[in-house]
Amino acid sequence: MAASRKNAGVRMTRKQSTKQTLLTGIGVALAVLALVEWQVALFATIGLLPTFVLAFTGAGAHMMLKLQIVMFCNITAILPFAAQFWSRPSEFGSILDQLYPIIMVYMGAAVGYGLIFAGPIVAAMVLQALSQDRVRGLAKKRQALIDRWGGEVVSGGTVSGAEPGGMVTPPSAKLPEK
Amino acid sequence: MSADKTPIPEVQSGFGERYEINTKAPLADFSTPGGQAFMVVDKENAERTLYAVVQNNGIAVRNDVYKSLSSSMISGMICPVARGVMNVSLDGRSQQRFVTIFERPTGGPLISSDGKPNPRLNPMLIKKNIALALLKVAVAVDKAGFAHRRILPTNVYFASPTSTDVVVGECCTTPAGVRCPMGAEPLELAFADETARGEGNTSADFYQIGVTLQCLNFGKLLYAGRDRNSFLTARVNQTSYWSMAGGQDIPGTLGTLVRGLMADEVEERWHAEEMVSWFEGISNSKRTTMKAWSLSRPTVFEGVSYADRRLLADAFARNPQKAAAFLRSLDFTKWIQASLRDEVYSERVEKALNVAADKSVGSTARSEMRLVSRVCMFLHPNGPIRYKDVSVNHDAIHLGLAAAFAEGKKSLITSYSELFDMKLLSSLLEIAGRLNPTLASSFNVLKNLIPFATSNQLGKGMERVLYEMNPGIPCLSPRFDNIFVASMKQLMTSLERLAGKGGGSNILFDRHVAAFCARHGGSLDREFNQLAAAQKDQPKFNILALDFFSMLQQRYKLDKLPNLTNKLVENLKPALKDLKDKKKREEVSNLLDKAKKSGDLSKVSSSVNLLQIQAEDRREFAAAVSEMAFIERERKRLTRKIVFQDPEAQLKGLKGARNLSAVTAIGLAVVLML
Repeated sequence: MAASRKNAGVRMTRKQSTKQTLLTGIGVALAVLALVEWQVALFATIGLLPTFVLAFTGAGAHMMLKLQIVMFCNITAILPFAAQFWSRPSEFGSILDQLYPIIMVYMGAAVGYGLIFAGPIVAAMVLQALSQDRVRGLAKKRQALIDRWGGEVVSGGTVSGAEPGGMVTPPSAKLPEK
Repeated sequence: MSADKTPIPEVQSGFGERYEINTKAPLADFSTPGGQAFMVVDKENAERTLYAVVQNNGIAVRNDVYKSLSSSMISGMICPVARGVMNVSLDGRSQQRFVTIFERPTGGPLISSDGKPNPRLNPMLIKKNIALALLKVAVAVDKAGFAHRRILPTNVYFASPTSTDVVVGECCTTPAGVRCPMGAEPLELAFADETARGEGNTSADFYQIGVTLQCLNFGKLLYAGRDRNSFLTARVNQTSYWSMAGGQDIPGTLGTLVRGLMADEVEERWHAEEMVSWFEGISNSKRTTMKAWSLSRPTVFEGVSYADRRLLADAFARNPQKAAAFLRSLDFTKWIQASLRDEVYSERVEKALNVAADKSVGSTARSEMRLVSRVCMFLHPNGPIRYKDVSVNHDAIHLGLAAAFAEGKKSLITSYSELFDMKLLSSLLEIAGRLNPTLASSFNVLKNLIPFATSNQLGKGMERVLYEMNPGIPCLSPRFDNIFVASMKQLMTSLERLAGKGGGSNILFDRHVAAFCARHGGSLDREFNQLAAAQKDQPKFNILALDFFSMLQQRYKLDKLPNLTNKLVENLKPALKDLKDKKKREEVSNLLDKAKKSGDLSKVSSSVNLLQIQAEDRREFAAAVSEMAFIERERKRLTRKIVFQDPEAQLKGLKGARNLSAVTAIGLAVVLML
C-alpha cells in the first residue's frame, strides 16, 4: 500500500516536471521570438492564454495529453496569423483591432477542448468494434479446444466422473485382504 | 468367484494320454498325506501293476528324493516310475493335478490303514524277512543321502499275494514327517506339530522300524487313536517302547531289537550296525535313561506336576497366556536354580530370557508370547520352536507354513509371520545355539527372509516367504484351485486360459500370484516396486501389468497369448479413458486394437507406450487449460460494453486526439514555412 502511494507520488512529480519543461520550452521559444519579432511573440503569448490557463488550473488523469491537445490546436490556430504578422509586422495593430484573429485563435483552443471530449467517445466506439472481432476469433479457438480436450478443459480439469463422451472415471482398485 | 477359477487345459497332456487313472478305484492303502492313490493303467504296457498318487496342491513332493529314486532304484522299496501333470476327474470335477506313478505291490499292507493285520503275518516272518527287509531299505536310503521317514506298518507291503517278500512304501509324495502318527515319530521330533517335524535322519528311520516291528508283533496299530498329550507324557515318563505297547513286553530276541530301535535317546538308539549284530546273535541291549531332562524339583503348572523339562515346555506352549502369567509370578532365577541344579544358568542366558522385565513397561501380548517361547527353548533346547499356536522344528518351518497356507489357517500364518523377528530369533539362538548347533544355519535362512515377511508390499509378505522356502510348491492362489501351477510357463498358460474364460481381472493384485511371480520370475524386484507404487492407481497399474506380462512372455519365449493379451488390453481402457485428448485417444485405441489381434503382449507393449502418452497428454492438457482460462478472461473482458469513461478508451481517445492535433499543427507549420 505504501509502495503504491510512493509510486503514485513519483508519477505525479514526473508529470509536473514534464509540464514545467513544456511551459519553460514555450517560454524560452516566446522569449527568443520576442527578440526577433516582438509582435509575433506578443500575439502568440496572448493566443496561448487558453493553454496557459489549462496548464496552471488543469488537474486529473491524462493532464499532459489534454494540455498537448489544447496546445497543438491553439498553435494550429495561431500559426496562420503569426505568419501574417511575421511577413507584415506593420499590420499588427490594425488586425488586432478587429479581434478577429484572437477569436479564431481561442476557437482553435476550443476545438482542442472538443477533441478532449470527443476523442474517448470515438475511441470507445472503435474499441468496441475491434473487441467484437476478437471475441469471434476467441470463440473459434475455444471451440477447437473443447473439441479436442472435452468439456473438462473449461473447468480446468477439476470435473471427475462423467464427461461429455459418457466416460466415467474408473473406481480405484481395492486390495484384497491379506 | 467361479468365473475366476482357472479352467483345466482342454487337451490332455502326453503323460495323461499314457497313464489312465481310474478315479473310481481308490487305493486307500497306498494313499498318503501328500495325495490320494488310485489304480492306473499304463497304455504302453498294460500288464504292469501300477498305482498313481494324485498330489494335493498344498503339499510339496520330496523332489530330491524323487530324483534320487528315479535315477537309482532301491530294491525292497516302492520307487517312482514316472510323474507329470494331467487332467483327472476328482470329487466330481475335472482337475489338473500333479501325479506320480509307482509300481504296485499286490500282496497288501502288513497292517491295513483301518488297523487289520495281514493274515499272513507270523512271528518268524517278522523276525526274519520283515526286519531284514526294513534294515536293507533303511541302509539303502541312508546311502542314497536321505531318510525315508515313513516306515510304518501301513506302508510296508507284501510284494505279491503268494510271496513272503515285503516292500517298503514310497516316501516322495509327502514331505518328511508330515502327518506321520505322533507315536511313529521319534521323541526328539514328536513334540512338533504334525506338519512341522522336519527332515529328521536315519535314526528316525530306525525308530520307525522299531515301531513297525512292535505293531506287527502285536498285530495292531499301537499308536492309532491315542490322545496326543497323554501319549506324549507316557512316552516321556515310561519310554516310547513301554508306553506304545501299554506296558506289554515283546518276549525273546525280537523284544531286544525293538527296545534298542525305539530308544528315545538318539545316542542309545540302535542303528544298522546294532541290527546286523542282532541278526548275528550278538545282543547290545542298552538301558535308556531320562536323567538329562529331569527337573530336580517338579513344577506345578495348571494343577499338573511336571518333572520333565520337555513336558513342561510342551505344557507352556499349549497354554502360553497362562504360562506367561505363571512365569511372571515366579522368582525365575531362584526357580531355575532349584529346578535345574545341573544347568549352567549364565548371565547371558538370563539376559536373553529376560523374564524379569517389568510387565507394565511396554509389555504386549506379543512380548508375552515371546517370553514363553524363550523359556520353552531354554527348557527344551533341541525341541521345536514354540510360539503361540506353533510348535515347529527349526528345519521344518517351510513345511508348517505350507500346511498353514494350504489349509487357509490365517491365525497360524500370522504366528509364523511373527517368528520372522530378528530379536526373537537372536534370543532363541543365544539360549539354545550352544546345545543345538544346527539352529544357527536355519535361523540364518529365516533372517534373510525377514524383509519379505515384514512387508505388505505386492510380491512380498508371507506368501513370498512361502514360495521362497518351498520352491517346489505350486501356486496356492484360489484362482488355481483346479489346476497345477509350479512354473512361470505354467502360470502364463494358465492365465491365458483364465483370461479366455473371462476371469483374471487384477490378477497381479492376487498376493499368491504376485509372490509366485516374484520368486520364480527371477529379478523382478524393480517391476514389483513399480507395481506396488501404482497399487492405488488402477489405470497405471494395468499399464504396468501389461508391460510386466509382456516381459515374462519374452523372457520365457512363450507362444501367442491372445486371450491374455485381449484381457490386458481391455484392462487398459480406463487408462485410455483418462486420456483427455480425444484424437490421441482414438489413435491409441486403434493402435491397441491392431496390436491386440496379434496376441503378442510385447508387440502391444512396444507399439504403445501408454505411460509416456499419458504424461504428454497431462502436460498438453495443462497447457490447454491455461490457454482456455486466458480465452475465458479475454472473452469476459471483450464482451463488456465499452464506454468513453473506460480508462482504455480515455487514453486511446486522448492519444488519438493529441496525435491528430500535433500532426495538424506540424503540417500547417510546414506548409506556412514553404
